[in-house]
Amino acid sequence: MRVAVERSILPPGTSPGDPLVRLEGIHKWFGNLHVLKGVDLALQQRDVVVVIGPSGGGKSTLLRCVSLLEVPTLGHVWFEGNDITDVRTDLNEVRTHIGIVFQAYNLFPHMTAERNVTVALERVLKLSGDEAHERAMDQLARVGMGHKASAYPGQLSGGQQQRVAIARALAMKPRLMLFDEVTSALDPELVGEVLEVMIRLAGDGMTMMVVTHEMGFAREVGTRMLFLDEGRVAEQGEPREMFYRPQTDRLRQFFAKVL
Amino acid sequence: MKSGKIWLAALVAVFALIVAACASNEGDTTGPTEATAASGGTGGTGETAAIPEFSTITDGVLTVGSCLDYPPFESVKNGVETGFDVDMTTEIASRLGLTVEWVRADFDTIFTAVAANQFDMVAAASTITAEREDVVDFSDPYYNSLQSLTVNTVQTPDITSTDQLGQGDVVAAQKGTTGKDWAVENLEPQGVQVKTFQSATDMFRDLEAGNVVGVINDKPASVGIIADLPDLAVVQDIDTKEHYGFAFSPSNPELRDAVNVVLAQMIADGTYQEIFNKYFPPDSIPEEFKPTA
Amino acid sequence: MAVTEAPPLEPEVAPDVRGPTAPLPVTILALGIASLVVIALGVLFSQVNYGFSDRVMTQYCIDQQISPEDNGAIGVCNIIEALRDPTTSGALYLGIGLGAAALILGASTYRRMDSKRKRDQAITGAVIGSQGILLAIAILWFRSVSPGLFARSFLNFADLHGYGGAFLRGIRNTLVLAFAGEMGGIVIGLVLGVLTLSERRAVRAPARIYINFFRGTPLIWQLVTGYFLLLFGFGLRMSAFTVAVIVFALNTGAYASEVFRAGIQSIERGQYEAARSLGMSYVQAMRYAIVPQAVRRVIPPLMNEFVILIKDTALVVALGLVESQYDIFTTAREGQAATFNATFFTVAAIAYLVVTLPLIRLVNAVEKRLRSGLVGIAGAGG
Repeated sequence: MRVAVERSILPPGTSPGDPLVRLEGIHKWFGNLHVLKGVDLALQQRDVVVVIGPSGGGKSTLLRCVSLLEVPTLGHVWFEGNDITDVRTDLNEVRTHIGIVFQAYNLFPHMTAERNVTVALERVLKLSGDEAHERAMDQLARVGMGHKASAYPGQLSGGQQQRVAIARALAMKPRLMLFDEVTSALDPELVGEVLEVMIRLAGDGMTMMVVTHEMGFAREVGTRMLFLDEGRVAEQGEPREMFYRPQTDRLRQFFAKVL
Repeated sequence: MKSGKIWLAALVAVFALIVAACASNEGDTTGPTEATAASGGTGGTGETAAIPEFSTITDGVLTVGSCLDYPPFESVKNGVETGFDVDMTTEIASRLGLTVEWVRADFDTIFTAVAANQFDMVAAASTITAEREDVVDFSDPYYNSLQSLTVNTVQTPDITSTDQLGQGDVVAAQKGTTGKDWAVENLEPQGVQVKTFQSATDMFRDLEAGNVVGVINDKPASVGIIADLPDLAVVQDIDTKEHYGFAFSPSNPELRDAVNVVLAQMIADGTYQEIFNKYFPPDSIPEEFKPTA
Repeated sequence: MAVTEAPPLEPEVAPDVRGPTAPLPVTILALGIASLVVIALGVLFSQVNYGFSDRVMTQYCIDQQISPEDNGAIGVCNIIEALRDPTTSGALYLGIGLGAAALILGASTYRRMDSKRKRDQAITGAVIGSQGILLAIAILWFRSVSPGLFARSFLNFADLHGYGGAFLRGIRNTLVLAFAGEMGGIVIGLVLGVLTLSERRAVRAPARIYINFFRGTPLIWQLVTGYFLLLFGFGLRMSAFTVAVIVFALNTGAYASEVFRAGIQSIERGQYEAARSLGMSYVQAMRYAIVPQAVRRVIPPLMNEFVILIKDTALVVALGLVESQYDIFTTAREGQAATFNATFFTVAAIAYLVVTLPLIRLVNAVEKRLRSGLVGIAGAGG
């Protein structure tokens, strides 16, 4: 008999004040390339942290370190008070609490939209077929893709695929959502529908870490913004502040180029 | 444009030439090349029939096809061909003024091969049969033989005759041999299955391992092969009254006749006896192969 | 949100823009085709004519070393007499003439033609014409050398009477060997392929050694040695047939593993990352996300491997087999040994083609369907 995993709002053993995620002294080398040069970061519940910066600066790498898709060469990552960089950690279990959406969507092309969502619900969370179906249809409807549940990724536009990818991640009822440049591969007219979903999500109180070039999103929804340049947090603060009063020359140059 | 037309003209010219050549060429170009005739009988007592003129594939060389894995008739030891057939062939060749070149071949296609002039002669302990006579020409018989049953005395100590074999038993025989034909004709009705092998030595290895219950093969060769295999023993003679002959292409009767003449000489002057005694017990030489006194 | 249905896909027919045609190019094309047709018909007509008539042995046949007592001698004689027949000759020379006309006309005029269709026709006519010429020359050459010897050896079907059942059994055994070997090879290959992708050297190395060994040694060596190895080394008494299946599976497994490895590696890393990010273990990610996609990519090469294996089964002739186990080639070999008639090998070739040609067509069809059918399999996203 399959028992659905209980998904509580607050992680066990923590109080509302503790950070959900903490990164301490994160260094990452790829071969001899020093990509992250000592990053510290803490996310509270309901934070929407936006990470911006020039390409090659390490933004995606930092994001991927949070769920250990990249293992930091040095440093620790705490999730819900547990050191997940410890080799004894059951990473598969931890990852069920962290949702990640990729630039390339990475939907499974041999499954329908609905199956993309239900496969992990059934195989990892051990939900029953009916429960999984119900939850999947619910999530797909929430991103506006309920009518395309039986479509294959190849039959969907980029924006539609990305929304299914978001639904797939959300269906796991994660406590943290990571977004890795999720609109960068989309045609401009499709970006809006994805951003809309993300804004609603933030409004619902989801803790999010978003790597993006969409400055509008950062300004409207971000609670905190990080400017990552050459592997270091060059500047961080409140998004509107940083836009109107950048403190460092690097940030000023960056804004000059992208805005 | 110009180069195209020249190319085209050349092509058509070539085609025309080929057509003309083919239309006029009705000659048959198969058959051995002409070679020097051998000299007549050299010394020795007894009949001195004239050796007919013959030709071989390569001048001065007798190309002989054989399996070379069939002691004591033909095998290779330390890189040198040895055996009864080998010595006979070498003697015959030298009397014809030829050197010998051995070509290894599979037994089940060796007759078709010699008929197609892949070699001049086959010296492979080959029994003279009517079916084979349709395809090749045989020399006069040069050895009397018979079939036999070899068994593994350790695995099956009680088997001494093929009469004891029946349903479920498997015997081994070599592809294309009279032994295989005998086994199919006489043992399959008893329910025995015949497992056919490409090479003779593989059969005996199978017997050693106990995969087959017996091997049907020419007796002298069986005796020769199992000399180093203590578990195996020849337990039954199957007197099929076979005669070995050397095989030749039907397009080269002269060579066959020449070999026959030389063979008769060797028997008459005692050379045959010498070679025979080297490989087989002196007391078993048949009458027809004894030298004329 | 408005519900929108995707518009039904209607294949639009692109207009044929190759242009009009003209009498000359059509003539050239016709000449070329005619040359081939004339040659084929001429040869076939003579053959059939002679085959169904009451003919006897001729002196020519005897000179060609077909002896009258041979089984099927008259049939063989008919074949080569038909080749010599004036009708055949006429057809051959006429074919050459037509082909030459097509070739010359086509090659010299195509450049001046103004529409694509005309050019195509002229060039095609020239090409077919030259093929006709080559075919006719080949037949002329063949019949002038020693058709008797060839026909007697390879086209004498009389001795094959009664072997129909044997060849059918041979086909069955060939297919059983190839199919069982392929299935075993696929299982072994999948496991090995995954092993070669492991990050641990200790896991990869033995798999590599196995693969290199089976790819580096000849299959016939593997068969013969495998048989005696299992026999003496492990004391396992099994029929050569079983051993052959095992060896084929082991051998195919080595090749299949490379196919699987390439197939798995061709799936983008993002797929694997997405699966792991949903909390799936390595095995789950492989099972639900990666391997199902890889399977579609490996099917064509694996089917090709199967066709190759069908031909490789002929190597079992080197092993000791009981008659019920004979494959196509061994059947042919035995038949040849019994009758000294190499026509058995001709039939063996036909038997192999009967099995492989439909399979090859099937492989091509499957490949096409896999590539076009499931849109989106070729690459997720982007």
